Amino acid sequence: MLVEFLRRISFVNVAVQSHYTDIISTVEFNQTGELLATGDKGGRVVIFQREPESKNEPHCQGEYNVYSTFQSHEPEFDYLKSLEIEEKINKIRWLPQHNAAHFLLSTNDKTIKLWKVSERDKRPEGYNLKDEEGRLKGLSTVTSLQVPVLMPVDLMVEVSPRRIFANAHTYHVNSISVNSDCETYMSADDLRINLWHLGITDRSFNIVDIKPANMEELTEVITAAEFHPDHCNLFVYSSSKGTLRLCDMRASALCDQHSKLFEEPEDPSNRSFFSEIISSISDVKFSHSGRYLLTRDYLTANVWDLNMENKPIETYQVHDYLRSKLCSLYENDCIFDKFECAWNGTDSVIMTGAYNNFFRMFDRNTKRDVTLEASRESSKPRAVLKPRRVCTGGKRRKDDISVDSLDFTKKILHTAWHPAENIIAIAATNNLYIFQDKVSSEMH
Amino acid sequence: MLFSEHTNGVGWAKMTGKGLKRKLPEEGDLPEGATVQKGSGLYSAQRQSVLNISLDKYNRGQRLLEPSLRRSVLIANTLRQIQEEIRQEASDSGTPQISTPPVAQVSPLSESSSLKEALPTPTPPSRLSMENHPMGLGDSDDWTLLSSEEDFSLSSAISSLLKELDVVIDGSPAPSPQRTPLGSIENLETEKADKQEPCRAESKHGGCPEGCRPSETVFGNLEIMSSSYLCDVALDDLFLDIDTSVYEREAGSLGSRTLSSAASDEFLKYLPSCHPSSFSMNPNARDLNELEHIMEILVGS
Repeated sequence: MLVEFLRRISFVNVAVQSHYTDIISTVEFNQTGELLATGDKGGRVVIFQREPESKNEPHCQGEYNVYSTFQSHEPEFDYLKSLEIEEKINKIRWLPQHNAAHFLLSTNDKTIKLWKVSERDKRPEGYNLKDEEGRLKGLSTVTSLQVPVLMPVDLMVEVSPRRIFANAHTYHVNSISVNSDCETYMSADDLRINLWHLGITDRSFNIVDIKPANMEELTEVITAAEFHPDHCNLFVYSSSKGTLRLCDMRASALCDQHSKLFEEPEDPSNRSFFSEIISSISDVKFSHSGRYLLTRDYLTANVWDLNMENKPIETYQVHDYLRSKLCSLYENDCIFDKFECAWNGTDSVIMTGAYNNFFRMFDRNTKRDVTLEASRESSKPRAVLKPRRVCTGGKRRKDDISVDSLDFTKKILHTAWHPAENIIAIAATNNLYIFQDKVSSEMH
Repeated sequence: MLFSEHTNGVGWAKMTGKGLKRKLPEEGDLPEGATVQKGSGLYSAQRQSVLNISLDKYNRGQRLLEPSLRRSVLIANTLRQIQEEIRQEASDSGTPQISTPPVAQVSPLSESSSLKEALPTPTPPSRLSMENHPMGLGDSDDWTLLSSEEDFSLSSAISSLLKELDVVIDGSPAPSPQRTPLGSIENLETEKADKQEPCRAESKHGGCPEGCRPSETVFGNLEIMSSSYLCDVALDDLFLDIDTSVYEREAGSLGSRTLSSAASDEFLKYLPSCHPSSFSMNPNARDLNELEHIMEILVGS
């Protein structure tokens, strides 16, 4: 419930870790919430693991500590096009776990990689032919045979690339999504969506292509795409014109024809030069139930019912006070910022980021909302986050921030919600904040 | 705890100022449509301002290390929208088609009427000169002493050339890619460049090339003329020459990014379709000069 959520605790500022010299570019919990992966602009992936709860130290329970760090992508140079390919990690998606190891997909603009994350906590010792340092023993010194035994060692996390899916995207990859069949996944760039098999790297199938024959006629690009959580034949993709298309892979191999088109007619009273730009959808997420879609455009977050295409069932104003600032935001490019959005585990609360290190949560049932801030100054460890308010010209209360004082360089683009509990991960430039619901932690 | 107390747009007029950059005192941050009547001078001034900003953004975007297709498309759409609006107004108001002088100066402080004069609806499109544009394309480089109009037409010409290349790199032939259902896309090997047919452009002669609309006739012509040069130039030289010389011209600085990327070059293609500018009143003479120019680049002399 959102009311309890307002009291939050267990601020863990992971920025003390020096990995984050780079801007965090993606944040993702795995399916159990035990692991949290982040990618950054330098091509690095940092995985955090939640500490198991311990009765002895109730304060430490549930904290996320670094589990593994590795370099996922390196900068590349495309010699044919004289183009530098950024190593920035655009998206990370975990595969559902099937054995002891964990698998995740990470992608930059061009190449998707499948990584295996496994633990090693035992080591065989007592070889007959090798000594402890691995040197071959002289045969004459071997007088008896022994059976090697597995000895416990300090936990080692090994990360290795298992597949590299390259050379399938001319344009910049913005989304990857693992299918519920756990065998395939899709990758979407500005104009095309490709379907891959996780085991096959030299081939992919193109399932959506919106590139016009004449590039001069291009007016729309793909901005995000996701598979349905349960139906392996359904996926959705969003566009820069504010449309959502639901596609059924059973209908045809090439899903250029949508099964459903979700689009809200434009409000003529709100028309401006920037109407189209602010209608561009920056993120789309299926609800856990698979029944709803959450989309984010520049000023609003919208919940759509899959059964109703002509308008969203709910619209939430994230920062409507910016509506009159659009020209300035266009000038300084902020209007092109792509904010992500997230559902909580029960699909009752949605969350999205804003400027000034603010992020917003909306309770769909009570219609209450809250603005919180992710900054070291405003919350000490273990302190409860205080709701913030942006003053828009009416009565100004203490601690309100005026719109003109907002820092537009501090933007929260990437947020993630634990799949089951009220734990959230917020990426604020190069700091990662993990917040936890006080009530639920007290219950343990 | 509700986020409340929205003011309506009117109240905003008093709130603006402190932290935000502004261009015109009267532009401010008034919500378009709420307090500003369409057709009023203020609206036109705002629109002009947005037009200028958009043009500048568009060009700067092309020079970025990592041009964003989405950003370019959105800017281009904004430009088109404004253009359409202006053209609509011009034709609605029945403004006589003034034969514009070769240099139609437009600056953000210009009267809105002069903008209308600069953009007659029917062909031939006149130049929208950026010479007085405050956010000038020029840096201190020699190359940028070229008039920006030349710049645009040059960009268009190059973009058409690169469009051919893009087709190669992308692996699908123009106009419509023939995809077989479930036909897999093999990895796009760079070796595919060898498969290009340099003389494909021949087929465009005589007929109106695809996408050739009346307002883009001149561009289409240019495309034909410049495309034909592909036959004469070895493909490898094309790559090399465009890479370095074009980039140096455009950006005037050393760097690794050029316009020759297949993905980014497509941004340039929006330019002719949404740009009222680009070609002078004297297409033939002008184009000849430009073609010589392009040839110099291609051949790398």
